[in-house]
Formats: sequence, structure tokens, C-alpha cells
Amino acid sequence: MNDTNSAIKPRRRWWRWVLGILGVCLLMSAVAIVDLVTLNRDAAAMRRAVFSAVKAEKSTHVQLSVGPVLLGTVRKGLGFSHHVPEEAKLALKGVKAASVGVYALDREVGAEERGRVLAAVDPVMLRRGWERLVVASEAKDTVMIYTQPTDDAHDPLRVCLAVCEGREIVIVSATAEPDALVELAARHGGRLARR
Amino acid sequence: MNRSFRLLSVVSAFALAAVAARAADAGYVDLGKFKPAAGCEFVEVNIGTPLLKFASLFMDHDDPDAAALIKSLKHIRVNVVGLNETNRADTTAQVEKVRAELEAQGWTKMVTVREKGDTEDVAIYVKSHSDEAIDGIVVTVIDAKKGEAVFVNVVGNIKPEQLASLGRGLHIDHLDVNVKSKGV
Repeated sequence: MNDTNSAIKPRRRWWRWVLGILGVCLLMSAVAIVDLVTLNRDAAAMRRAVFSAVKAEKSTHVQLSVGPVLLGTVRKGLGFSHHVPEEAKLALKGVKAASVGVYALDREVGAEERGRVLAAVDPVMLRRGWERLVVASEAKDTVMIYTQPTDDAHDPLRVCLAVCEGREIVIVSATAEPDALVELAARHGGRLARR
Repeated sequence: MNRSFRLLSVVSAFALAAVAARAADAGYVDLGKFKPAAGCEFVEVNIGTPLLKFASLFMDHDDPDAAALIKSLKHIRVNVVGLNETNRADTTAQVEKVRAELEAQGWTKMVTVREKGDTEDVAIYVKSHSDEAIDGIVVTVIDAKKGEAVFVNVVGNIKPEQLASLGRGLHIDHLDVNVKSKGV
């Protein structure tokens, strides 16, 4: 009797471990999927500020975030392919993370609203440690670009931008590797010069 | 209470140090904040040292002289403010205030242009600590024809012979022409 009971217990423990690991994997997959289809924190904060100033019905066309892990995996994968141009591989090397949101509105964003967008976005981004790099507002569109201060030109470059154009609002946040971008520009510049 | 006061003092000291560090750049001018007018053009560009050095990396292969010039700059600020009835008076007053402050601080007025009928009013100021280098340039323009005001502040260690290139690069026509006429 006692021998039978002790033989059953190890099998039950083994299934619990499998279920536990599966549960963790499912949870991690769920988190990864949620991360993939939502904006990162800074882009989300910028989006909230923009939409606090623009009172219009919006629909999401694109909302996607890719982080260093996914981009690194794609880079490794492309490294084995000989059909992908070197410039594409270099461009991918230049981007460490990116978060993009494209939203369509039910009407055009008016000039006064675009002024309010700037007034709403600026304090939010400044509080989060971003510096305003460019603001440009013309008849029908407004562009705001923020960066995070770096100590050195070779440090990763973080950029967050919002574009309000007509009935569309685009929010992008990206981290770029300056050296790879410079190398890409140098190769492209040489090719253009030869033409 | 004492801990909060100490924390506040430390934070204030750091903030003041940051402001002082920026102000220590002799060529830097606080142009103030500008109010965009609804429906009018508004542009602001604010580029600091790391981004300028990054930009110079792009130019190094094709134009090393331009790259060296960009690398020598510490800060560029450009404001283009479209004018209409709601902001014309305030913006014009701000231009006059900036000009008065520059003159009071010992900046040299290098260029003055006043076109017939006050259609264009240009003033370019320069700050230098020696004949060898210019610490900063400020350009103020009120263009009644285009309906815009322009402010430019370039801070850096600029050689006089680089002024014409800088004028061309930043599309400051009056700077380029004036430097050529003075034979720099």
C-alpha cells in the first residue's frame, strides 16, 4: 500500500512542472504580443497628449512596436541570407527599437487645434526628459520632433515625433545607432556622387 | 521639513548650475518663447552639441570643411514666426527687446538693413572675445512682405573666415553678402 502511494506522487509533481512552464510561456507570449501591438511608454504619452487636444473620432490604422530582441532576431536571420542587399542589413542595424502608430480621424485637424497640440505635447515630453528639436507648423500640417540628450555623437539616438497632417496623425518613437546610419549615408552618398 | 528644504536646495543648485552652464556660452542668447498664430507658419529648430557633431559625421566624407564648421558649433536655434493681427505687435516688441538687450550686453551690430516702406528689417549681431574667433551670432528679421519674423542664434567657436560659409549654409543672405563686402 505504502509502496503504491509513493510511486504515484512523482508523476503528479512532473505534470505540475509542465503545466507551470506552459503557463509561464503563455504569459510571456501574451506580454510579447501586447508589447508588439502597443506603443512604447514615451510614444503612448505623446499620443495621449495629442488626443487630449484633438477631440475627434479616431481609428487605429497601424500600431506596432519592435524592440531590440525582435530586431536582433531578424538581423541574425537576414545575416544568413545572401539575397538581402547590404544596405538593407545596415539600415536594420541602424535601428535598435521602433514604435509606430498611425491614426485616422473623422475630420481634418484645424489650425487652432494644431496649436493646442503643441501646447499639450510640450510639457508632457519635457517632463519625461525629452528636448524639443524641431517644431514646424504650416497651413495644413504640424510636425514635432523631440530627442533625448546624449553626451556623445556616437551614443544611441532616441527620437520621438508626431505629425498631424489633414485627417491623419502619426506617432513614431525610435532608437537609432548613429554609427550605422552614418555608414549607410556615406555609402549612399558615394553612390549618388558616382551617378 | 528640514529634509524637504535640503532636497529643494540641492535640486535648485543643480538647476542653477545647468542654467549657468548654458549661460556660460558667451554667444548664447535666450530668445524667449514665441507664440504661434493660428493658421500661420511656425518653425523652431533647436540643435545642441551632440546632434551637431552627429550631423558633421554625415558631411565628413563629402565636405570636410563644412563638417569642421558644424563640429565647431555648440548650439543652433532658429525660429520662424508667421505674423498676423493676433501676434504681430507682441512678436515685433520681442524683436526690439532682444535687440536692445544685445546692444546692452556689448554685442556688435554687424548688419542693419531697412528696406523702403519698412518691408524688411534685418539686424545681425556678433559677439567675439578676440579677432580670431566669434562666440555667437544673432540674426533678427521682421519681413512685412512675407508676414514673418525670423530669429537665429548660432553659438560656437566660429572663425571670421567661416562666416560666409555659415551664412550660405543657414541661408542667411545678408551675412554672406556683408562678409564678402568686408573682404573677410
